[in-house]
Amino acid sequence: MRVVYLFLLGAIVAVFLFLRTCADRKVEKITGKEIVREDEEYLGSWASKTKNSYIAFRLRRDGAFHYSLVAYPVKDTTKITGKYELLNSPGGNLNYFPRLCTFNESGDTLFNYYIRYVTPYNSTVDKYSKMVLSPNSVFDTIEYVFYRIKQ
Amino acid sequence: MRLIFNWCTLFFLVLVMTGCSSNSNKKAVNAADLDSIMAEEAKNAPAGPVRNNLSADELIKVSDCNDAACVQLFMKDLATDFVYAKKGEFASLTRSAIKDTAGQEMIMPVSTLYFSTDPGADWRVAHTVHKSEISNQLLNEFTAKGFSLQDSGYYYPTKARAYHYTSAQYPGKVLYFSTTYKPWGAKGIYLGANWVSFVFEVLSAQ
Repeated sequence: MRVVYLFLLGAIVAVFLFLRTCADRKVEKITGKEIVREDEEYLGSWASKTKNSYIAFRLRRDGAFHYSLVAYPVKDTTKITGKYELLNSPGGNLNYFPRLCTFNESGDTLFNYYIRYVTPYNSTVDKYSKMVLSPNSVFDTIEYVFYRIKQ
Repeated sequence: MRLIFNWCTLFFLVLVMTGCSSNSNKKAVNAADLDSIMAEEAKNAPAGPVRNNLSADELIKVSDCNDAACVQLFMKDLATDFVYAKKGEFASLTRSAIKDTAGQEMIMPVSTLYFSTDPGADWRVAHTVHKSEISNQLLNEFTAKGFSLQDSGYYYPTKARAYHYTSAQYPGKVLYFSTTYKPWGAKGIYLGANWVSFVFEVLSAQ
């Protein structure tokens, strides 16, 4: 009898997750914003500021990529749309970070960076959700920090 | 029947409550607040290294040391810039891409400070820099302190020609500068080194 209860519990959880996913997709469609869950923390809109520019990009669930760059002080804005790919390390080698490659509409590469860090879904450490991109996979070298922004 | 209805209601209530809620989205920030948030994060971030190498003054001071304890005590104040990697091996916390003889790039400390630890070995403290720009800058610092070229000759510890510099302002101090592939024989990162190193050693006449 206990096995039946266990099976029932599993079924309820599965139905719950399925319905939640359906609800998420529906909400995403209506609001146009990504509902980010576990293992997809890279999705959504990210931005960073420097003295000379404001960079923002959005990774959509359907693989679309939007990029905008505002160059100060004249505030010239460049907008690029295209697609992105998330490449995991060859053979699942944990010594390398996953790689984010983005391309514009004509297929030219815009980003080719390692994702060194993304705030985990249930993180209690980070106050803000952030993503750290790096041109190489070596710890403690050049990195670009982007913060998740409200869409 | 009523119990099942209640459970179903609870189920859908939980579903609705969690449906639009995402922990990641809750931690999103307003684009307008990005300046202040980045400033706040930078303020809370641990302090990183602020320089790449020791200065000429520090090399002259450390040359007064005659044992490991003295060097370690001297480097204690520089702990934000140098890490004590292994016995007798301090490495700069700043790392950079260095090209080897085959043109391959390697990420390594920009400079090191090694001192003798082997029993019976001659006492030696050497500051090794891995970038020519930093080496030139350091050499200019010594020149500004009045160090001028006096002599040159084969220097056994670096297996290369070393240039000897002295200054009237620092009597008894001799700077040995050499460009070599073997700054420390077979020690630390220099075991089988195939990149060019610039070695600075200040020797005391005492």
